[in-house]
Amino acid sequence: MEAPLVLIASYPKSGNTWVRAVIQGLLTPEHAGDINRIDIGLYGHSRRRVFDYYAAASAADMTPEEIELTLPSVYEDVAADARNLVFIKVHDRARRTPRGEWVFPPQAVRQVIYLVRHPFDVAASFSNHLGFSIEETVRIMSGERPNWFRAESMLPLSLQETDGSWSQNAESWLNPDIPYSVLCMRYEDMQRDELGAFRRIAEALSLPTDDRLQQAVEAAHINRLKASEVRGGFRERPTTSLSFFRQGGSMTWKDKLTEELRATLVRENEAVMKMLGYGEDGTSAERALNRHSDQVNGRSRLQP
Amino acid sequence: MPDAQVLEVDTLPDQLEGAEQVGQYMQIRPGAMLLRVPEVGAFLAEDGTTVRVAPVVGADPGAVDMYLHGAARAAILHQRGELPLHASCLLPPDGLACIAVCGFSGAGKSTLAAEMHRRGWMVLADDSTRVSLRDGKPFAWPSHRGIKLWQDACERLELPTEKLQTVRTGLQKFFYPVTQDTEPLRLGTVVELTLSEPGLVELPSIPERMALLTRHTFRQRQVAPLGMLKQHLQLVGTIAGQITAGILGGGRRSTVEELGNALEEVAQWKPLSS
Repeated sequence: MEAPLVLIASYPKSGNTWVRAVIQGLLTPEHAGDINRIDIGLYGHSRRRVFDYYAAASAADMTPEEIELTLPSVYEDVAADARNLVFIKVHDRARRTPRGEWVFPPQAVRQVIYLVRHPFDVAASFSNHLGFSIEETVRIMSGERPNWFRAESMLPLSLQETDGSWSQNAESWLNPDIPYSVLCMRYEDMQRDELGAFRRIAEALSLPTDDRLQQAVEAAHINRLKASEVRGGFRERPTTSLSFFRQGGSMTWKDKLTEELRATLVRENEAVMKMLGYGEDGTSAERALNRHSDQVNGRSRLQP
Repeated sequence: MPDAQVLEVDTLPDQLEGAEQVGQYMQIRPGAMLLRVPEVGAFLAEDGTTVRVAPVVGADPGAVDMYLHGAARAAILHQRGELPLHASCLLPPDGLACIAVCGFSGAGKSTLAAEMHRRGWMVLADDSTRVSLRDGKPFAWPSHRGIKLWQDACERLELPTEKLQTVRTGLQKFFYPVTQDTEPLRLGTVVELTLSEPGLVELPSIPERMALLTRHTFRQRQVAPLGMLKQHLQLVGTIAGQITAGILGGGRRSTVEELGNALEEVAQWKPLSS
């Protein structure tokens, strides 16, 4: 199958699971809205299993550098064996290995869906997710890595991710020179017009845009996902977090981010925030979905 | 390397004639597997008897060792029609048959093996267990490489790491020495340690046990291109008919003591055949 990999890429807490839930509902309508049947994404432990299956050695025996160098060959093998689209949840920034190869081989990647969310809301949600103070979370979003992020002294369930700072992450995927077709979606726009947003995603992936899409979008509404987590838990919830699905809205940072922390986030991320229409007051400029990103010759071009 | 000759050579061929390309690095045909890893070296495993190794100049010896004892050793065992199982292997005190604990990386096999060692069990192998038939019955072979434990597991088990040898330069992962001066021992049970809800379930049917063994066959991608698929299924079927098997949930959720207690329970299972 030609270029079967679809990367659903984002900084953490920017709608990645939401998008996966909708796509899962489209692919298997019988599981629509069941958060513990989101099987697409090759995330968490399944990424390690896939790596161990395709690589010639187990990731658990390799240094982080060796894993990085081996990843392109693993993704090429995954693509070579694929009979359908393979969705990969990605929090990494787009990058090349020290050998110069793209971690995700461009010839194997059909489409990147890049999701962004206002960094103030990301900070509030990510802090809850990690079980860290909001101050520490803001430092992590600025690119600092506490020791536990490093994989030299323990075996993390998933493979180590190299997500970079919030800005580095966005810039890496939205750089017009990267060799992927990138559809950039803002979380805020997706909330304003869920169906319209997911229609764009479905069209980019040649997935159904009829009633099945509407049903999948409705089944994956944040309130339904939250209710589903309350009822039956969520297998992807980290133990550091009481609940994975929270408010899921915009301006969720109020009462959590001090003026000083907001100023830090703006200082660290000003250029990218401006490019994406994210205001220093935490709002996001309204704009038509089809204006804020455009695809030209299979490449991404972000319109200021 | 079990009963196989390991020869260091200067070069190995770029292409293995008549071989199928398996992934980016392996070429395999019946009887031979050539593995070429950039910046590490080439490994040719042949006829179940010989591995030729041509390391790249300046290669990390730890990396060469990893592929030699991993993919190359697996190829040798597959070529012989034996089963390399992604499992640790343990013998209870006064036990007559051993218990293999298989599971994907990260489930906690090695930590559990160290816990059982502390309880007086013998640890025959960690991570990969060689299983072969003797008079039609499955036997597990001892390995001499110790248990590989990460720093955090050592801390949880209160094992000081100062005097332990690291598995790889740059990794805080250590060989924890265990003595296993023994002959191959009868394999009686295979348990899969999973990340699912805690609990122990026995697998009553042979197909379920076969699926379990196949799921955890080490480097299973090599089997078909080596021309060993039929023999492999026969072997797995034979073993599945002579072992008890189960699923132990709670990997990374339960404490190692709780998992150890569950394994003590497994040790009480009635053997399928003597």
